[in-house]
Amino acid sequence: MILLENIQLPNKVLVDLTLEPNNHYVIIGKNGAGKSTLLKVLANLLKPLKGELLVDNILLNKLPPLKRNKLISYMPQNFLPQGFMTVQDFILIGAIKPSHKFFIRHSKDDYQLAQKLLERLHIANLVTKDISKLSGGELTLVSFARVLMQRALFLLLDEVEAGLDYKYLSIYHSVIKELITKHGVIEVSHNPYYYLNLPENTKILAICNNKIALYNNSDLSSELLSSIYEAQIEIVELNGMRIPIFQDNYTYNFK
Amino acid sequence: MKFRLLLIFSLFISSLFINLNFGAMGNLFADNLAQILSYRLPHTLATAFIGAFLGISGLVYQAVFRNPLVSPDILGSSAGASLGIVVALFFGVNAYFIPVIALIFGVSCTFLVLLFVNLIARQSILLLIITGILFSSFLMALLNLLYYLLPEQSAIIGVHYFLMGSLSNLDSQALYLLLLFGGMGLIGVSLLVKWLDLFISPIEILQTQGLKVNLWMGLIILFATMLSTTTVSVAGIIGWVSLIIPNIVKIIYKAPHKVLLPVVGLSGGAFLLLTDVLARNITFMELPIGVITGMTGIPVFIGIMLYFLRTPGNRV
Repeated sequence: MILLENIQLPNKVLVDLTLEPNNHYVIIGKNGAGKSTLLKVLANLLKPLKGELLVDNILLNKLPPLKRNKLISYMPQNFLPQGFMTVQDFILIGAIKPSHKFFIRHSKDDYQLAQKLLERLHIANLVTKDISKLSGGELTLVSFARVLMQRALFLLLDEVEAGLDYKYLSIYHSVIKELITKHGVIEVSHNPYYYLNLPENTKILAICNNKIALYNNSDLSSELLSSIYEAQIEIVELNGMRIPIFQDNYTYNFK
Repeated sequence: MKFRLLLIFSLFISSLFINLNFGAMGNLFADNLAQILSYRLPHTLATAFIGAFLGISGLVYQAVFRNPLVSPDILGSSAGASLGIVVALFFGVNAYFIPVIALIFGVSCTFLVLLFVNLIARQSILLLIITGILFSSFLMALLNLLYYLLPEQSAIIGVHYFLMGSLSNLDSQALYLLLLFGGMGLIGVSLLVKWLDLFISPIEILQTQGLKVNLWMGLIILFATMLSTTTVSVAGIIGWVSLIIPNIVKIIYKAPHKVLLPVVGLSGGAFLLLTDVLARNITFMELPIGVITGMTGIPVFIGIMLYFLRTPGNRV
């Protein structure tokens, strides 16, 4: 488990949390609230202003590279690949351990796992395609496969579901469901329709007023969601689904 | 792919023969063939190696910095190397130590530029280029000052060769130096070629994987700088080859670096061999090679810059 003790993020948000495996955390908040910043601090890419991140009583930034590799994997928002490489080779990057020296050789297991992941995500047809020729959604899925390749205990995902269509969204959901039986998933989401309908034990980390609050998925009410996003949102139940309805106060009147 | 590899290889071989063929003492069909070869073969081979090393060093820089507009001469290592060499020559240092001094000066200049850019803004592509160019210009101004204040000594040492880049002094000693120090750099880069492909993804991904990105990056830059500073120590600053050759190859070949590396090497060699023929024969006297590569390189650089900036998603 990861312990965040009285952490102050670089954007002044205060965090006091314990993150445990076998859990699904969704970080929500309005634009610029510090969702991605929190992920980057967890990934040890940014230093917190104050406080300590502890993993089994060891400071996160003092953790040996191999242990960190097994503990945390990180998927940033979409990026532009600079160069040429097949999808398979790109996914295999995820299997590289800090113990690799000059030569990078992948084992047979790595190749098999890469193939299995591509089939699980229904993108096996992309295997030999060049990474620079993928569409945005395809790149997201390939990038997701690379993160899974690392087999770390915690997965930090930054807005994965944002670029996916309905087919791949449902595949993504089923993969996440499978993952939380063994791993901890911490993801950033902007899509209330997505996280409102996740299983009840899903934890919501809401960043609001420079503080972070932990809710259960079922705790989220219309009022709470409205105050988090500073917008009028009403949650309506329909066929057992919780659907957020936005009151649009900002649309410019062209007349 | 096989066909294109064969094509570039035959282009390289024919450039070798064209370069051997043209010159002051007659062509390959003359009677004094042995004499011509003993004089001209080291020059031709050294030229081919210089072109190959420059191209490969540029390829490595562009991969590591995730930026198609950088090269050792833009990031200050070539200017640093030539300043170091000239100072060493003033003190009468042995020729075999010159590439070592060039490497030390070149590498420290590149790392100074990187340090400066990292202090201000980590991810800025434009700032890296501008800082490098400013730094290079400053060092070149120092070299010019030296040339101006000590004209006689400078003429004996040949400061203007380092300023303009020249292939006219390539003998077998230069070839040995290239093979010794450039060979080490080439072996290092070849061993690390798979790491070059990793920089396709943002560095932060590799960092969370626990990989020692800075260590590998530093090591690769060191080997690549070794390639370029060794060419500086035998032929001065031959600008723009390291920038344009990798970019042109990458437009034609969209392949991982283990393929790009030999192709860029062969193309760089072929380009410099042909440019050398041009420099030696275009007028009644031999033009400095740096003048010709500069005149062809800068328009190509502008083209690449426009192509890069017009690709959606690229920021400066």
